[in-house]
Amino acid sequence: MALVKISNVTKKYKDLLALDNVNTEVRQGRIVGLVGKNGAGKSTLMKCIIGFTKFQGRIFINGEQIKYMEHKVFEDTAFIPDINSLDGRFKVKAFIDFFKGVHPKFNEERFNSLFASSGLPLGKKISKLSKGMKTKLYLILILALDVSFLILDEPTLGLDIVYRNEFYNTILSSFYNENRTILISTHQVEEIEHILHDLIIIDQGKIITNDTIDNLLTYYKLITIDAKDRDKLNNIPHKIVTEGLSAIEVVVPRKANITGFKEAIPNLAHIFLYTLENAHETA
Amino acid sequence: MKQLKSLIKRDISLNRWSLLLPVIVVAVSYLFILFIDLKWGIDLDNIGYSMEGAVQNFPFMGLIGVVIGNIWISGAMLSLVALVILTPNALNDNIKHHCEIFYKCLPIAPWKIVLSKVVSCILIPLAIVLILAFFNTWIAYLFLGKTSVISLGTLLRFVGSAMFFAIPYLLLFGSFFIFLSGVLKKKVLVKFIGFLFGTNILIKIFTSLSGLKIETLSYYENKWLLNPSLTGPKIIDVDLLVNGFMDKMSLDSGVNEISKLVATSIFSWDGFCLIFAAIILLTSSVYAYKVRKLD
Repeated sequence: MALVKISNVTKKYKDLLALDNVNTEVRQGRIVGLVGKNGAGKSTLMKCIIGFTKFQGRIFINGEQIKYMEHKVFEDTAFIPDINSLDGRFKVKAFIDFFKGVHPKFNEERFNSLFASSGLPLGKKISKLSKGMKTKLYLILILALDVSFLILDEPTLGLDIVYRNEFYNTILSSFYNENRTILISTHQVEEIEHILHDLIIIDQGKIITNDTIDNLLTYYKLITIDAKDRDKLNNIPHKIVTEGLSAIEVVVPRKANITGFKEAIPNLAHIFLYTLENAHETA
Repeated sequence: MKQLKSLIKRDISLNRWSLLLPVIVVAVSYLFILFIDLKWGIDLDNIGYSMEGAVQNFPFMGLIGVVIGNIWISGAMLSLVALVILTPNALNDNIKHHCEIFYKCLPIAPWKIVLSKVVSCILIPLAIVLILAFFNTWIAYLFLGKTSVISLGTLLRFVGSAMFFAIPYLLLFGSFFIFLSGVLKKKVLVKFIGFLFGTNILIKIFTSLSGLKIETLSYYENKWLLNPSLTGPKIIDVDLLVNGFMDKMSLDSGVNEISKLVATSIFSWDGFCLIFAAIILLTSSVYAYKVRKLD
């Protein structure tokens, strides 16, 4: 069942077509990755989903049509845009109290259990926290909400690998269940591939893939061929992902009539690169 | 209600130093007076002054002076805190601190945000200044009221009525700046003053070149503020005030009469127009805040 239904959505910024008649959906109870190059339209699509920007077309969340700047969407949807958007003027304790007071879906019990192991200093000002600590605080606050839809827009941008890893593991262990849906945008697909159920690839404002990870992995294969056999790829849609002196690694459709001396399942980064390169054939 | 309470608490916490400014000013003033008293001593009974050759009763005249000064200073402090510091930043302080998007991602109705600003940026400063004004009047009466023919109750009523009269104006100007803070993302006061001065200068230049008789914006603004309903008489009828005062048998009842007339003058078409304009501005602020584009 579709939690988010996006119909004929087009968004223009002056002369730039950021979203070009997008039709897609996000299924309920799934962890969905929204990937694309920088400027592909990921953030714009997310802004449209939560009504932060005007657009042509229609978007529904849980059957409710999204309106421009309507606060009600956040009653059951949480959005983490950027860790640095926390209000640095507060002390941690005061900020938690404020958040508790303004969000009707705040689950204090869950918050306490998450906070207990966080090591966050209650008396410190948010602006004085490290980026990693801010991430923890933001995440704990959001994960303590009993909302059914979580949207993350490049949430780990600028974080080191330790915090990035912790971020996604915490989301998986403390937030996700089959009644909750998570939409994560990133351009570092390898970082989230282990938690995803579905993948949406966007390029130049168009959705070029929206499928389950299981399906995607059956569509392609990663083969290693002799560098001198490169000509065999001429009539086959492909993407060379590693190029060595004697051998090359290349993603091709599983049904393609070509074999290599080594064959493997491609990862999502490979599939992403392949899809971008062959967008017209796969769209 | 819980949301509104949290929003107001947040605003008080973030603006606590601005809100405490009148308290700090008053405390410093008392400390200064205390210092003078301890260092050189103040003998109130032996302070006198002569006016037109006759020695005046200093404690009583001093009391009147202090109370009137108290009203002016309270008004100035209220304007400074509410209209210069707080309301021009009411709806855009989150932009300045790069956290606007965080607040926009919360399920809070914009009208609650605007209402919390009215409470924290207008009503709370008003309450603080009013309490201080009463306190100052009481202290002044304690030291200078020995020979006063006006009772403490009358003086408190006088101070209270002056502050009460300021409420619709405060609401109007406060709402105006809250609205501007919803429309303009930064430097609201500077832009507003710049606009006002700029327009006034342009009008002056235009009238001197064209010979047409057009008044400045400030002129029309002041004119409207004195008679918001445009019905003719000013919001405070000075003749009525003087006559009411003169009709009374004693100074005490005369001052009471002034207080009554000042306080009740806002229950008029003029007062209604001021409040109505404030409501329109606040409603517009809700809309401006709601549809404002995120950076």
